[in-house]
Amino acid sequence: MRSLWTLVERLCGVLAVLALFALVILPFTQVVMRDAFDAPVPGLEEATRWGLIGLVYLALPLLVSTNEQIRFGEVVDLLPRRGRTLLERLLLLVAVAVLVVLVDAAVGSALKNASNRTPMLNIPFRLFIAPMVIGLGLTALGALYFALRRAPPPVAPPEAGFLDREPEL
Amino acid sequence: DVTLRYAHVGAEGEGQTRFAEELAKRIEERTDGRVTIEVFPNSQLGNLSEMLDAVRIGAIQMAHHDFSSLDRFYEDVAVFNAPYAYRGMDHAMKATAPGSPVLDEINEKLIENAGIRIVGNFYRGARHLTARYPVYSPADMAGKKFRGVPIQLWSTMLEGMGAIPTPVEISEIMPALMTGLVEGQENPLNNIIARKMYEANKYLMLTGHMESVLAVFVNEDAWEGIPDEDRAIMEEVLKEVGQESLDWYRDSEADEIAFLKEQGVTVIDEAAGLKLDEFREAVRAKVAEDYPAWADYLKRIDEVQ
Amino acid sequence: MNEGFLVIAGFFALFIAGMPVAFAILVPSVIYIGLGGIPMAMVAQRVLYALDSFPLVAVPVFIFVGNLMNAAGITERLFRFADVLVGRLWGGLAQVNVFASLIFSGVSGAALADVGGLGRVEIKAMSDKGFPLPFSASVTAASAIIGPIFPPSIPIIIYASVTSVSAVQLLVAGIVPALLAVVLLMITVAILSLRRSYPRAPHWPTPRALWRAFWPAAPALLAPIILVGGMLSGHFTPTETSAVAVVYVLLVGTVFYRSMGPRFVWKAAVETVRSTAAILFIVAAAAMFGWILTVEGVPRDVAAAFAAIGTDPWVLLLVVNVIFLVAGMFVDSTTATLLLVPIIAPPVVAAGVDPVHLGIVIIFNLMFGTVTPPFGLSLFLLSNMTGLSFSRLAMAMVPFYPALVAALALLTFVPELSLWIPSMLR
Ligand code: NA
Ligand code: NA
Repeated sequence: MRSLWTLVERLCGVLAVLALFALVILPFTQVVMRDAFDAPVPGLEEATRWGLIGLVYLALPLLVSTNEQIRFGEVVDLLPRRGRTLLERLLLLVAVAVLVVLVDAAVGSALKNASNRTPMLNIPFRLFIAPMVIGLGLTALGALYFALRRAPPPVAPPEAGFLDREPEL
Repeated sequence: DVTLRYAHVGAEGEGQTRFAEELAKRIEERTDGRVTIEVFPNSQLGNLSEMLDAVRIGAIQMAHHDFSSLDRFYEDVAVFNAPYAYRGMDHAMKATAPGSPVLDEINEKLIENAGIRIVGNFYRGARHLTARYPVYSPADMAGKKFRGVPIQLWSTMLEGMGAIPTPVEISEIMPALMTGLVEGQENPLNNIIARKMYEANKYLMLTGHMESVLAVFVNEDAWEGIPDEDRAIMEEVLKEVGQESLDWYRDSEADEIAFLKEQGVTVIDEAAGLKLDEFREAVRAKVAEDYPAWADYLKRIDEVQ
Repeated sequence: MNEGFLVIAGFFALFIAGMPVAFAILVPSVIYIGLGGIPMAMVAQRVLYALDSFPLVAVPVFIFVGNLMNAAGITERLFRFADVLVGRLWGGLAQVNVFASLIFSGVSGAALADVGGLGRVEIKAMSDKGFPLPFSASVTAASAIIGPIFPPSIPIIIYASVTSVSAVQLLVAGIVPALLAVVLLMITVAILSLRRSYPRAPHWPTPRALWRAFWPAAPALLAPIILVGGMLSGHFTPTETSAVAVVYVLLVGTVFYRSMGPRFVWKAAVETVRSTAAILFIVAAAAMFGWILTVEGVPRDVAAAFAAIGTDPWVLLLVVNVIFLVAGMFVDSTTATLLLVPIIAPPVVAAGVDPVHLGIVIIFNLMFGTVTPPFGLSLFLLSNMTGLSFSRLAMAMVPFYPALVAALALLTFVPELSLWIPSMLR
């Protein structure tokens, strides 16, 4: 199970990083095409925005195993170990419930708006919303796994999270 | 009793905000409070894409925007935004109002595809060109970067004028004009004033390339849920306020141009040498090339008297 | 009672209980939508379209720039250059600490990137020279505030995205206030150091020494000039600027410093996507919250409350300062911006306060909150890095508060400080 989740993380990580590269390459291309060649490419901005959606939702599953969402941990930290484990499990289960509702709503929305397309590139709505459905769905599965497995759920180390991650010097 | 959420992107003080408020007020009065319309201006309930999808699923029941924005549901609805399609504002209003054969035909498709019905329209002013330098004919725009709405139809139009359509977020339009990232842009007069574009672009060309008529649309299920008699009242009020929007515009247009002149803007119209015919011809040719399927619609729009 | 306030109460209850911010927002929102008979697809569309935003693309790309700079060892070279340049001032390395933050702020958009990257170098150097640890840590925290005030800035991008104020204007508006904060902090450091007789460099640098420190740092020093120059000249939007900066840093890292292999880049990229997901998922969730509050008329109620206070812009600005200073003490800047700005900014702007000026005042307040108890993210991180207790750190911060309050007061009541540079762009 754990190694299966590691595989999911790898895959999502690779896709999200590819999306990040797209967020660098596409606007840079626009700058070059527009300022050097006077030939702005229509629709690049739209593709870039889609890349952002892909990046955020495909990277979301990566935060589960380290429990590094931004949050206020001061009160949780005061609890005794068992109380804390219990609370963490409960929080994860609530998150799963919300994510399931979201995925269901997103799928419903994709079906209902099936004929929609984005204005410039004509990206079909189903494709447009797909990264979100996949990312939220995987996050729900991951959260469920960590909430229910025998070992206590992950506790974010105080220095975890982007804000506080130790940079390599 | 029915309460409808009505969303639009217009800001405080804009004609479209006035329209929505006036509409809400009169509908509530005439239906004796049986139909209440809560207006949410300024994209408060989400950006354009979101607003359209929300009307489709019924989370928002009513909204207004450019006809072309509805093309995600049925492509040809954008024909009502086609540049140089109308003989003037009255013709534009008539051709795009419920009851116009072309509008009714396209409306059927919208209802079928998306459950969205166009129930009214109003006038927001013609769109004109501004630039950092004087423009008299499409030749003056050749190879220059102009900002257009990032939609295919606008690209077609600007290309027809000879310019290079360049995407710029509307919130960044001032820095882009100020620094010369783009040479100019096109918008209705009130927008040009509201965003103080005259500080960067000292030339206004009264090209009137698009008659900006906005579509008022509702979620079909919500519409069906309103009793027949109240629906009839709503249609009547929509027609009435839509007609008044023409007067609001007529009243304000001269003031707006006078204001811009006070700000040191040079206004170039036909009398000053603007070659409107060349613009019309060049743009229409490009539209015909990019949208061959519209030929029939455009002909029938032209036939509306 | 207005159901919007129940949703807010629900958020706070879950937030205190340790629920991640994004979920603390989503749970009461989903319940509201469910009970209100509004199609649930609405929630999905909000969290989707909130991120369908070109300006927000700058967030991950700016984070990426900062991570690459740290990974390439550029941070240390910047520190060394600052050391040679200002190490002779009263306070020695403490002044270097402040000045290095100013240089680093030209490429980094987050306060905590400064603390976690540069701060590590700074604190170690100061400890080696015999500075007391609490002082070193507090200088680091206070100076890290500058990062998100000086462009680039992630908090400012997020602010611009919720207000439709031009991001370019907001970003360049932060330049003078950041310099002002630097000057005030350096004066504070000088006074404290004189009183406590902290060490400083034995003499001013020779031109030769200066040149030798400058040269390795030069490409990194050029980066902020490209960033700010690109935006001021109008050649790039903030999003494009961030992309150009990444390409530049990659070039410098691989060609000039030769320290940046594919593994470093990959690691920096993975870090970046994790951080981005953590921040922007909150942005997506907050969009839901804003929708509900609007439908419930909360902004209208708040506007009415502001109208009751009066229409004097100075009074309103004072009120804004109090609200955001307190908010910044309890929640992180992203959350505070997303939840409060859409409600509070419109009535204040309507009263005549320039939206760009207001944005800088609000961001400064929220950054102030990163160095105050009880919820000061910079202090948490420093406490973790140094092993000092949170309360000890908070005490050490106290001498720096007057300088920060003075900076805040100045930029609140002298709008020109913020508006001078953006006035060139409108
Ligand atoms: Na910065
Ligand atoms: Na520092």
